[in-house]
Amino acid sequence: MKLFVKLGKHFLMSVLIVGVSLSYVYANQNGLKKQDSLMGERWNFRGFGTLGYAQTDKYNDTFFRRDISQDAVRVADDPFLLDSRIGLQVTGELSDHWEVVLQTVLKQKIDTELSDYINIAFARYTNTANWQLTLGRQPFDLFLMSENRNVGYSYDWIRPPVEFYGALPSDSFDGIKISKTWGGFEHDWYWHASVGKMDEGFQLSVPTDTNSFPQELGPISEIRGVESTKIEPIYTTGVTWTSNNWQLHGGVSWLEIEQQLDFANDFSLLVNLFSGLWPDLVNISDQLLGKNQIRHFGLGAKWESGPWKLQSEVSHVDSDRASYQGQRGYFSLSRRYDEWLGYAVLGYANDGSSIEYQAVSELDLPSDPLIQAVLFATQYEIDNRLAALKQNQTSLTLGVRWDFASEKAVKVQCENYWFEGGSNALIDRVNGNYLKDQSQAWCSFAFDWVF
Amino acid sequence: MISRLILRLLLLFSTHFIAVVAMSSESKWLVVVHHESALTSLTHKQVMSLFLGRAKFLPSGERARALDFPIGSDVRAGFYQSLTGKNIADIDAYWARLQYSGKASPPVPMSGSDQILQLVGKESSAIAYLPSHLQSQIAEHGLKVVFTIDSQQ
Repeated sequence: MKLFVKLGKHFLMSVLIVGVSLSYVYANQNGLKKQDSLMGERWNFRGFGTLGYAQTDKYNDTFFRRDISQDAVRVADDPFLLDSRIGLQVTGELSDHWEVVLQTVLKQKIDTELSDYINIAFARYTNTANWQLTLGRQPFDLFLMSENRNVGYSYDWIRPPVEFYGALPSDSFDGIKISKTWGGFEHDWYWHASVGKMDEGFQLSVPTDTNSFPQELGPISEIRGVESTKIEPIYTTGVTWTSNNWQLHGGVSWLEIEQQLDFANDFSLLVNLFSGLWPDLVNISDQLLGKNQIRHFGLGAKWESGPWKLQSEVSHVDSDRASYQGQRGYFSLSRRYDEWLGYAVLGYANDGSSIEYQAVSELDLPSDPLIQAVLFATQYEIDNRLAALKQNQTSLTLGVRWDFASEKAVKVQCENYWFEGGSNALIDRVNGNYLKDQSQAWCSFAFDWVF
Repeated sequence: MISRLILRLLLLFSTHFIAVVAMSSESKWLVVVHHESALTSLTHKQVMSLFLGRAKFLPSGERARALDFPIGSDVRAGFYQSLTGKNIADIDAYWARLQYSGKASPPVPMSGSDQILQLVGKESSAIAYLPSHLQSQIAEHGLKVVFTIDSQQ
């Protein structure tokens, strides 16, 4: 029995290792076939992969994860799961105007429905004036890297800056996009507008604190449920200007979001029972569980000249919610020396999310100790959820990439994070550490390739 | 055991060094099209746009079909170094970003110069590059040069 439990625990890891091996064999064989391909070929089958190892379990009271779609506990148990993934893509050019793209990505995710492994599935029509209409599941064009953050080989670092990208559970949306490219050979413009929806699972890093939790309610176990985010509609528009050295990008989006948190039913019951005693419960419920609007503004710039690269993005989020607000950004500098590349990245997230409420200790409570215990426990859970939705942190990453062979690279990086107290979105902290300012360092290794 | 590992590493680095020296020895690249193409010449930026997928059509209005040398070949690495000033690893990473977001497809890799000479000689929309030492074969395959890249550019 123990053997089966152990096998099950490492099942995904085993699948990843087998998949990585098979795709590597395929890459070597297919490389020869591609050299013999002719111009008339309209179908293209390619893929990408990363085999990564990160010190996710270096601290036994603080676990690290790449983005909020990952299961922090699984990643801590299996440090190979943080960055390892495999992707396969089929591109079909049906005519000069129509093409289809299908991409599937296998990686560690909290949500494992079959459709969640389909990252891209769209059909695109291009007319002779370079207008495009894209239908289906497609990447966001909101950020410089929102379309390729699964493809480790395509960027310098092991993972895109988590302050900027870690709060996004998905890379793609289901919908329709119209876009236009124009300009000359010196530089070109790209504009797009889209409407669509997204339904993604994610996980809150709810801290487990046996000291603060009211003992009257008994011991609490690990509280790490699967939450879901339903975003509909999503309206986006943006423009990108590209020249030989520069890429400048600006985008805005407006969306409506509804999160189904694991404690929603219990919390609704508490609101019905105790809103008379604690009137702020209604407002708290609306901001945590209601359908709210988010307005997102982003700017990005990339500059490359010879061996030097600079890349930076900033965003401002204005939200009616109690989560995902404020400013996020990063700045990266890279320098190449033949096959070697050194890089440094600064990341920053300032999430101003909060809910103003009157503390339970300030209320005029009845003398029943059970009611008091329930209300204090409710406040404790609310604070936990708010901390689990906030991301106030700064990081410095230093790393090296070695392109030791064609379309293959290994990377080593170390990063130091400074987390503000009450901010818990991307790390899983236990024993009350989420209340404190904290500094932690992790190192990671990755092997990236495309085939 | 350790001495064997050191020997292997030395061999690996010396192979890399020889490859780099061989790559940098090619001083000129010829950008070629079919001899009946309406194109007469291209600028450096036009060539860069065509081989980096930013331009999908030739200045003559035809859909561009860019051809490439094999992935991992020194010829390909030398050409892109001369064209863009960038290491081939950065070029491959650039294409990985475009390709796996479904935005564009890279130039089609051929098996070598023979296949490139044959295909450009047949296809009016094809565009490719060749090392300058193959200049003598260009006319006999029905190709013409529309741009020349010096490695110093």
